Amino acid sequence: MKTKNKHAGKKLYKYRFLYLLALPGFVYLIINNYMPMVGLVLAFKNYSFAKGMLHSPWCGIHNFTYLFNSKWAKIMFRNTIGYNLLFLVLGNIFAIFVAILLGEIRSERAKKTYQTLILIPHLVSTVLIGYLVFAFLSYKNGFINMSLLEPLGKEPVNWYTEPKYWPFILTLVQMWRSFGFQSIVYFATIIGFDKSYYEAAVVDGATTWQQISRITLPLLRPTVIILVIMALGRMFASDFGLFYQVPMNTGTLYSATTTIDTFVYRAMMQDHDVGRSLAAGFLQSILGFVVVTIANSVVRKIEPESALY
Amino acid sequence: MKKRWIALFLAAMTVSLAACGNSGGSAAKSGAPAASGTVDSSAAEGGSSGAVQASADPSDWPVIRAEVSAFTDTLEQKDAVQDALNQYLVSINAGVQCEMVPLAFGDRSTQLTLMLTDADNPIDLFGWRFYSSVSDLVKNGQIISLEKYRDVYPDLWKLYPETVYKTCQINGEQYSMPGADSFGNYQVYALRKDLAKEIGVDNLAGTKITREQYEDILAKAEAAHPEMAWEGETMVWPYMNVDNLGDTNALGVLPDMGVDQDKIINYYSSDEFKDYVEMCKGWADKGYIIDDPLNTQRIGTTLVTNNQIGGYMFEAYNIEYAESLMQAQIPDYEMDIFQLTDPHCTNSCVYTGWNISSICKNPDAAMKLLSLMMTDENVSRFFTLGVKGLTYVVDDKGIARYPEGKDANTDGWNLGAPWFYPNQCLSIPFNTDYTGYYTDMKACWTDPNMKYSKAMGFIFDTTPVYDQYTACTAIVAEYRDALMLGQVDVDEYLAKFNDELNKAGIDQVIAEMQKQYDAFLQENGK
Amino acid sequence: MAGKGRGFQVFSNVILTILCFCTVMPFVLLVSSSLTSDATIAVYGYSFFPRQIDTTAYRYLFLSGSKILKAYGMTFLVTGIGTTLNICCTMAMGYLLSKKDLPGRAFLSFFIFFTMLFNGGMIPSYIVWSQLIKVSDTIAGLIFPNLMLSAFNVILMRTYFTTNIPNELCEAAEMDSDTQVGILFHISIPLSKPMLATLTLFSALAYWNDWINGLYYLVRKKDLYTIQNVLNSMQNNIQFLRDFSSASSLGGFAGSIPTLSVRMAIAVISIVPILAIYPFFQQYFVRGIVIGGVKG
Repeated sequence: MKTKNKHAGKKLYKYRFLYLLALPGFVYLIINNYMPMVGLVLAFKNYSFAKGMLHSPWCGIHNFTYLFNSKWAKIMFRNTIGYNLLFLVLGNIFAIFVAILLGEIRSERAKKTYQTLILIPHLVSTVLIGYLVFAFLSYKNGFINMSLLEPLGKEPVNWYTEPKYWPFILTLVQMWRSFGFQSIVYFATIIGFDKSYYEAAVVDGATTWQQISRITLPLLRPTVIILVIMALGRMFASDFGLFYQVPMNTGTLYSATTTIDTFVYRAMMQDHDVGRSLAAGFLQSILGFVVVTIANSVVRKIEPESALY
Repeated sequence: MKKRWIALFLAAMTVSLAACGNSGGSAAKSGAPAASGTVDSSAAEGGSSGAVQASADPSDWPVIRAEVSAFTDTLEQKDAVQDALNQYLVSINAGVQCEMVPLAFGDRSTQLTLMLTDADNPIDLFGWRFYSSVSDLVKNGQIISLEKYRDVYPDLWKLYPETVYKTCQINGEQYSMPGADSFGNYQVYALRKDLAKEIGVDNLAGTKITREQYEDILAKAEAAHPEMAWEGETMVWPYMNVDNLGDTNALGVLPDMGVDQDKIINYYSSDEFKDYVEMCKGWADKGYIIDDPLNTQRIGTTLVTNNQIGGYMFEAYNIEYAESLMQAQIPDYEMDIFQLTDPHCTNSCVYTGWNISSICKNPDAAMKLLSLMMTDENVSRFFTLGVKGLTYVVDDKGIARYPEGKDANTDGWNLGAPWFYPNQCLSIPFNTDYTGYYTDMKACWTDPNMKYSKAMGFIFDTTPVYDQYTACTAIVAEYRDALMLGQVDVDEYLAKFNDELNKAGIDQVIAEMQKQYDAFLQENGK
Repeated sequence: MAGKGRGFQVFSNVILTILCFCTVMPFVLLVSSSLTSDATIAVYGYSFFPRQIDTTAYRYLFLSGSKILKAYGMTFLVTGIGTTLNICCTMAMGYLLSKKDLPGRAFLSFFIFFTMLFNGGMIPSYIVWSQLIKVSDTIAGLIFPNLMLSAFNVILMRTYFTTNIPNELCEAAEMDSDTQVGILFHISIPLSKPMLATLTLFSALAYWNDWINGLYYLVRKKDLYTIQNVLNSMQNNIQFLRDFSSASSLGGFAGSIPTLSVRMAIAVISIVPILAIYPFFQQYFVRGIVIGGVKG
């Protein structure tokens, strides 16, 4: 025991400068991530601006009971989980598909061009995506109404008043902006595979399809698992910009666009209701944590190599 | 091994939490006592008079932060205006200095909310228009009572009709000072003069017309110009004729503008509302309402200038005022004005009020500045117009104009929002030929014909039914606009709307409202 | 990989070409509308090819819009400083954790990983940064909150170091009496270019596209706004006008909102630098992500 401690002490000394170098990063995490967690107590308080965070009166779980009594609880959980599952499934299937296609392209120049172009949507802000979507969907001037539906003799559609279109629109926008990046992640994995598998397969006379289904897909499994676990951790989070700025915070669309994040923001900024806003945020964090822990332990049982921690 | 590092981790977290708790505590403490001290001060500290004693050295004077309206993210002349204001404050030995904080309307709700949590860096004075309401501000603990200043600045309580002050009181205590306005308006319709002439209704201009005459005008106009719409801002609730009790959600309303009304009703389930939205639907179907109104800026002035609409409805306190407003806002066209309804004053005719934030460290000084904004012509004009010669000039008729070569985009100050501030009547008319703009506005305060709602000063305290109330407002936000703009099928959508409201507990909200209203009437001996 | 089928080649190329077209198309629409006058858009709607090229919007931006240019400069400055800080911290932490025999390694890893799962929310975070650290109304408000370190990037970095830097190399260096810090600079960093390039791009994008920090922390110093803040603020003002258009007194403001083509032009200039720089990083991108993405 004593020698072990001594050993550790020696290691500590050996890495002393590395600890020092990394110290600012840890201090930053404490300030930026850990200290605000104290604020989660506000979820159990009736926040008063006059009294501040610490002196506001407690209100037990009232903030939570309200949340579940309102119709928004159902809607925001349904939307958050629903969209995330949709994005997860569609996104990964599509990304793997594109990655495999990319891997098959023989011309290096074409390959590079495709990679460059499909990543572009990943580079721009959600504010800007909101501008782009509006250019397409604006009732009066939008590209779809003016240049697609009108020449076809169809009635223009009031996109920003019909919630029923928005699950498709949001999914489409999300796919558009994220498929490139996800594809590159998979593609990067694919080109790292041992070439000898494929060479052997070719010798055995395997078709392209057989190579994909027998070699590429099984080899991708660990990557898929990691990406899915990470996505599960964010199952209760949503991209605020996608659900707030892209639909331009329009009241009629709330039933299709309210996620936990937009609810939290609106409860805060429109109703000035810090307690309830935080109750929703608190639930979001807790649930995300639980889900990822469960997913990880399941994976650890089935396939220990792929577990995240 | 694993358990050990989890324990270690928890320990580290506790330490970091404790550290934060301490520092957070000191931050909150430094602000909270000041605020709570003033809340109770009227009772506790009999010694403090609430007046400001100006020390000899102006650099010792407290600096009060007051918000300034803006429609762009920066106001280039902010520093110049602020310096000029502070020099003036020194010259009158005010004992207080001011820091102006411009907030763009679009960002304001977020930024004001955040600033109101920041006890170390407080915003002291702000107005509630487009942000919140007096009752919500009080409920959230965002503002303090001004009651103790009644003795220090008695004149502030004599500017407007007494009933107006009641709209900014909670349980008889003044929390906010109403912003000057006409406190009473009627609906007018503005139609392009050339079009009015074309369809032969120019003879009615300047008079009061009936609803039939009005619909006739719309029909004729549409027939002559089917490519145009005739309504920019139907959300002004024309012909609704109800007192919404100061809450635009209008969950419970008094019929007939609240004049001598004792019974609160659910407007959305009433036949009048159904008629109203059916009328709107009819207008939308006939093409009176612009396309995609829910997502278009329905600013009448812009739409008229762009030839998208020929006329629109708004509120005014007299025909001349309406004409002057049109001249200023639509220089390209001359407009004819038609009066649609009679003048009335309800809670919602008090558009704004100014208040002191609960985190303000020196409420006495803040109140001093507020009183100057309400009574001192010069102080008021620094806010509404900026600095003479720099951000505005005055022509020989006494009207403020943009300086040579400047416009709304380049002026560096927001001249278009005098109504945002506590007393616009101290200002001079801007960009208009109507020299009586403010004198006529003030004349409304003593107009014997003005009808006041019985509910003036009644503010619904939503606390007992808060959950139901919030649920209902969310539903209103989702459904009402589409209905009132005639964008959806009335029968189906209205039924769904009412169904949702019932589920959310609108009946309980109205019952509670009635209970409080009865108590209010009794208290006021009405 | 090397399927013989010519048909598959054609198929892949066609699909990818279509996808690339889809990704680029909206940007063409954006550029086109920035070059179209408002009157034309009002009549013909947005279209891919301007009917008549109208550069008023750009002239307005570069001649009279010193504010826009300043915001542009701020974006560059903040992205530069922020990304540098971010990369330094990420590298130091990733390197530390890549040492397999490091005392407390498991704890420190979890300490970082945990921040990906839990957060205190908007108001507490605002209170910490504005009242405890006092970053409000300074350029620090744009740099520090939320963006300076991402746990995800640290994990990517750590994984890259553990999988791509041969242990023997480090041990040999240790023999040559190189210090641990020396090894970082002489061996690990030069060998990690792809990962560093990738993380630089991630971080730079996060800074370049951020509008939250400006909105929250620059309330009294809006002349420090970045280009995204300007874009966001304009959009908010427009939504405000839409929601409160009932107030007739607001009509006078319509003139203060920049025209549609100006807004589109600002949007265009906000993405040009990214598109210009990004291809240089792109060559490292695939190699950077590859190994980082997979757990080592």
